[in-house]
Amino acid sequence: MQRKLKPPLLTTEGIIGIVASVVFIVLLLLSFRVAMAFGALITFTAAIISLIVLLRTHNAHFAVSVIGQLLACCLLLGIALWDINAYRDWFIGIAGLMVLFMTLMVIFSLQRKMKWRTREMLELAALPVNETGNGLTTRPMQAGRMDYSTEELRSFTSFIRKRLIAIPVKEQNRIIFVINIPMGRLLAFGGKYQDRTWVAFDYEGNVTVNISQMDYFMYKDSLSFDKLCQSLGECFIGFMEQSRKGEESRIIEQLDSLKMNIITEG
Amino acid sequence: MDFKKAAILGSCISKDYAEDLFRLLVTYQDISASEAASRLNLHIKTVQDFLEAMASPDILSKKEVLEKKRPYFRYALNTRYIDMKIDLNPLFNKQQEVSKNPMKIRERNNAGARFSTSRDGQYISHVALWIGKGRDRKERKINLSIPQGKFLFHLPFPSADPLSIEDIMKKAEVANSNSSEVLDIVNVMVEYGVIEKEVDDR
Repeated sequence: MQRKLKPPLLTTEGIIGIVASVVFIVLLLLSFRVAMAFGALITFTAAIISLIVLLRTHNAHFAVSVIGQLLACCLLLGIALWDINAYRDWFIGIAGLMVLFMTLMVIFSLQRKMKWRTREMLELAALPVNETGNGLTTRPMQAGRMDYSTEELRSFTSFIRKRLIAIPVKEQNRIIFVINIPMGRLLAFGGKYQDRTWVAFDYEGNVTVNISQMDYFMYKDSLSFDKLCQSLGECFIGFMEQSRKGEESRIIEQLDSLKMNIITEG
Repeated sequence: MDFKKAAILGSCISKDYAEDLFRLLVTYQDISASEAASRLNLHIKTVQDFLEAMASPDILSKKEVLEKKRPYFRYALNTRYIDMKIDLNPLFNKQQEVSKNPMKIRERNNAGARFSTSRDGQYISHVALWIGKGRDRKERKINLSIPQGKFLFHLPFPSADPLSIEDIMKKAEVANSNSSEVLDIVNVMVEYGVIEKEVDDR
């Protein structure tokens, strides 16, 4: 299938990860214990980030990640500070648990249960759009209307959040699903979304869409902007319909069928 | 009375010294600008301008007199009432009916305008435009009424097909009674190049 999005760029998180790995390797060559302490610091930071993501998304799979990273942190810190042979049994126990949780983490990642769906959503929105013609604007677009109860919207919100499709921001009269939230805002519990790509469902049934300039430029071609906004809105309206029917697994199947790379397109 | 005459009259009457000058005009049978200026301790040009302005809508009469071959004007009060009626009817006649407007519109590509939505996200609350060039470039913010904001919220995107004003108003659920303010903002946006228009010849 021909992708409409440009190949992914290296994100800030990716760059930080690479730099940390290089520093770890360099330290490993210089001093084993210092390298272990540095590794403990990195894994602890990763555990904190995972914990915040868990709190923001309510995706329980991140709990496994938090535990795995904390165990790794304990193990590395233990190696850095104490004699391994003196606490051999403790180290084996922690290492065993760590391997178990890390394996689970890898399995969940391969199953796409911990995968952010930003690129899938943007690709899915662009699928029916073949017209080009730019037309970028800062105005949001009303993509349609549908009937749903507050309870249905709440349930849909919970699903979208847990499955990492978007981060919901609650306002007095509507819920906004922010599709491409930067990690900084996610970690800072920031509610600012106006400059991002979002889809809003208000309590009167209006569905409004906004595609940010940054996300629009992620497409290879200058796709017809109004068609793209309409398509993204229709995607979400379709998801809402499926959610109301209890067919949420179909939404995930639809996103998985795009076969995005788990690591580079996360 | 038209707007220009009303503006001159209003401006003169709003001066601090207007009542004092009228009191002089009532007291004196006729008076020259220099006499009035010296009496009220004002500059002669100030008084002259006031009297000339009052003479043009016939509130004062002026008579040219000669003093040693040097002509000057003496002013006398003509009326005991100043009646200011402004006819707004010509402005009503300038308004067009939306249904008769053949214009089809949409947002212009790269219009450079920044639209801000209202708190409830259902209409545009204001539009920020950049006016001028280079160092003189300034931002101009236009605050919109709710019907105008709803209309602009539903304005077709630059890549979409243009729609008639009537169709956009229907889509935005803007009442016909608001058509004049909608047309007003459309004209402003066309003027600043935010909206592009096509005239339907059918």
